[in-house]
Amino acid sequence: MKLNVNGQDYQVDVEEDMPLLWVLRDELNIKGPKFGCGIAQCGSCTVHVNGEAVKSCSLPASAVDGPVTTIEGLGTPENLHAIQEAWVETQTAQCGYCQSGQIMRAADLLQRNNNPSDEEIDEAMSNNLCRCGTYPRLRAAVKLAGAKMRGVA
Amino acid sequence: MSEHENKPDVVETDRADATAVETPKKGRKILNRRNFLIGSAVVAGGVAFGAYRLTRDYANPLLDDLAEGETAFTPFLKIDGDDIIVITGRAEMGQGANSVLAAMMAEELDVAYEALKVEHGPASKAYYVGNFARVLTGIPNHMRTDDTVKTEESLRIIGKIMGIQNTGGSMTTDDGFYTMRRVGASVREAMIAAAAKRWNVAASGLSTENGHVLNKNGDRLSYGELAGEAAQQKLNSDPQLKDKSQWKYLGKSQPRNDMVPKVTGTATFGMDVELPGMVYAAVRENPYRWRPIKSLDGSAALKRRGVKKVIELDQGFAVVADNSWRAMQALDDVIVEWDMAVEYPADMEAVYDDFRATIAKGEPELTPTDEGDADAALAAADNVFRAEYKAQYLAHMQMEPLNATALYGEDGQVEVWTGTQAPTAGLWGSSTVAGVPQENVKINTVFLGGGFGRRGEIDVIEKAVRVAKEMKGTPVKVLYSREDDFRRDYYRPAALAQLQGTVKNGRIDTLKADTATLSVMGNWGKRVNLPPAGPDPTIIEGLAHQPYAIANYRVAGHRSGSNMPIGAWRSVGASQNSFFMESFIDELAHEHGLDPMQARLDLAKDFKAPRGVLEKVAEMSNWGSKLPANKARGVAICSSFFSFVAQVVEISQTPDGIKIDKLYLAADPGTVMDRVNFEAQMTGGAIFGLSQAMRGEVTLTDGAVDQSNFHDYEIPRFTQIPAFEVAILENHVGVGGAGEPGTPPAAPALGNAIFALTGKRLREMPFSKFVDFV
Repeated sequence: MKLNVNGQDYQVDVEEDMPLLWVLRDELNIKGPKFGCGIAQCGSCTVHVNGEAVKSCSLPASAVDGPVTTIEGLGTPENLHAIQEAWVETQTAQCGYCQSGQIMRAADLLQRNNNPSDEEIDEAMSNNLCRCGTYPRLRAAVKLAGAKMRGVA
Repeated sequence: MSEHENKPDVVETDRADATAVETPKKGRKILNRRNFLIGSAVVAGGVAFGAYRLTRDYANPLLDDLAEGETAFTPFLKIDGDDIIVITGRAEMGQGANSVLAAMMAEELDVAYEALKVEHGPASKAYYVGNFARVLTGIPNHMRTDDTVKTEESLRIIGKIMGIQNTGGSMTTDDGFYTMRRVGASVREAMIAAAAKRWNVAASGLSTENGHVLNKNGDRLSYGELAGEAAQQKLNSDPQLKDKSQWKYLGKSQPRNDMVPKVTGTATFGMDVELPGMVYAAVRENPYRWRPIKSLDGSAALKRRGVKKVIELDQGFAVVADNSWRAMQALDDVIVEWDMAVEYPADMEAVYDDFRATIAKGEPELTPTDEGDADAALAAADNVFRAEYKAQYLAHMQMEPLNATALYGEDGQVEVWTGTQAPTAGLWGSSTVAGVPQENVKINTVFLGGGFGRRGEIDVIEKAVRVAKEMKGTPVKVLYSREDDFRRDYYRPAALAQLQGTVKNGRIDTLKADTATLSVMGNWGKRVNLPPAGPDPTIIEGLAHQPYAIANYRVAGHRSGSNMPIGAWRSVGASQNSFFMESFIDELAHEHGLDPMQARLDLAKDFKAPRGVLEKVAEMSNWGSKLPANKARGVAICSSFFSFVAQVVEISQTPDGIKIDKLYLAADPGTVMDRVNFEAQMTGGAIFGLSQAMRGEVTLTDGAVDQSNFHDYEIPRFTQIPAFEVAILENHVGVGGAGEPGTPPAAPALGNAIFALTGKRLREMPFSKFVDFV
């Protein structure tokens, strides 16, 4: 089966029901998306398919019908995306394990609407869990990221 | 005891040694027999090692592995040209250890914080937790003074003898504050001495700046250029340290050095370790803990694509495959019959009955707080108030499921890559399982996707080595599915407390607490090869030694003999005991018409720091001001891990249930190293506390755990998080903990707010059994 991940084409030979997460992690060695629960509860595995956030632990690779973007495709340490900059400026991450997923969830929201209301932020970010309890800073980071994308921060 | 190959020179150390520490002012007896016993939980065995080991430093493990051009100064610092590398020896599990320890080094070494590289370093006794034995002073935190902090420092020798490398107990900052600054300052002195020699001038005329030694004539040499010569200097074991007023990095906030990797997906967690030719093994073990399997048939699993091997383990099995998912899927193909005997109380009713029976025996393991005469006061009073509280078993639910990668070489060399809080225990466990000496084992510690105590266990390391032993020459990553991780957790122990109290003249006059639970130190200690321990302070922490002058105050800790697998969970005993203590204080106050805040302030009046955090949250929350009928607030304070934290939780009744609107938090750890990071630990810790108060619960049915994943073990989500207002005070002495002390007061503050709102007193967690939350 064919996959386009972060702009690059891959040919993979896997079972139809292998979740996208494990194709990314173990077949393509793209380790940014994380395994947390395997049942689409925690969101650590969040990536974009066709520009929309999906929980890749529960999406069969064979059901992927468009380009995939992972945290690695959003920005790099040398060239951070505005959202990643906001995470750094707010010092949001603690253990960091959930943050790839949090950021890809926020990117899905902010790329559609860079000036979301509190309710819209709540709705989007409720998809993801954080055990360290970074939530207060996550909220601040999403708002700062939106402001950066609007060019007002 | 296989860890200690060297025979001790002195088998019996006179325990009087332990009393030779200085007595602080005010004539307080600091090391009476009772207090010593409490401390002995962590140092038993350690004292049996002789004087020769007291003074000798452990070998520097960096010397085994130095790259060309690298110079090692102590186990904590390497210099390679312009690269200055701090070896922390502590796990970065989200608490910011990498950053705060680097800042301490930068401060005294006089190098730019941002320029430092940070590595965890190898597993070695050289990275011992020096402040492990500080509790030996027996001094409650509110009685701590500069003198007693000095006494704690004199007890570092015991931590050294124990030689345990561990990240936990909120001890890292305090320990690093001692060690890192001294290493930095002494190496800086050595750099100056080396430059003085090179220039043939007096050292007194030289200064340093950002990694360079400066001569008055404008000459300068970088530390990199001087490293070789500086390494010839004998390091000063007692260098002059900067006064707080001169600090450049400490006491301010530094950008965390792990932030960019963690927001770009480039940080390597244990789960991300990838080695050439690596295979993946999923593990499933008997949900009836400690029990073996009766029979195993892996033939169907072997037919699944990519599956290489099914390995029988003592209490379960592993499936090895070429992909993590294939390995986990194949677990379900294995036909296994578990031995279903139950070795512990099999349901929650039996669990709490066991605790009641344990208390009823009347043989407390320890009574560390015993002021006045509580029994006499209760017997004489006619208004005794009594209540019984319960705390549930809890799972850790660290975001990254357990995993470890191991390579068992054909040559008998074993290498492990994992995120662990307990490297030296991992070394011991690996060596034991592999059947090779510890010298043959190397442990590489990478980022931890959360620890919270779970990664202080070494079970997954042992499992990885066990599986790798069957796959010699091939690196194997052993990983747990979330469900298998959950069912093989070492849970926060359930607990039960019976409290009695009286109020006299508008002041809480008597408080007697009997609590029963399992021993965390005893259970964990056994698994990580700590010597058999005495009384376990985790049974009573959070109930005993609270900053209250109560005339008759007695806390008795009773140890249940239950064999349930339990361990350390963020804030350990204080996680349940603060709920017992602070809910009961609140009940007593309400029973007697006292304001819950004022009742606490009256008791803490003479203790500046705890009184200060109470006054601060009262001010922040505008305590006493009228709230609308659908809103209420509750307060709690806890002294734990050498920090005081008070919280006020404000809630409202909504059509969808109770909403937690706001959490005011005031903390006093003494000197704060990094305010931005400390605040993150406080808010994160409080949310962890809310997780047990609201919905967290592990229950047993016929001996098996009922829950398995985030759908039936709910942790707080984004929308359930209150707004936070945090104040950080520095009225106290010493350097208190950050990672854990934010957790304990959250549950009682919430419970007390719910009482204020609904009149319903919740004496059992989680509260979702009795009220609805938004």
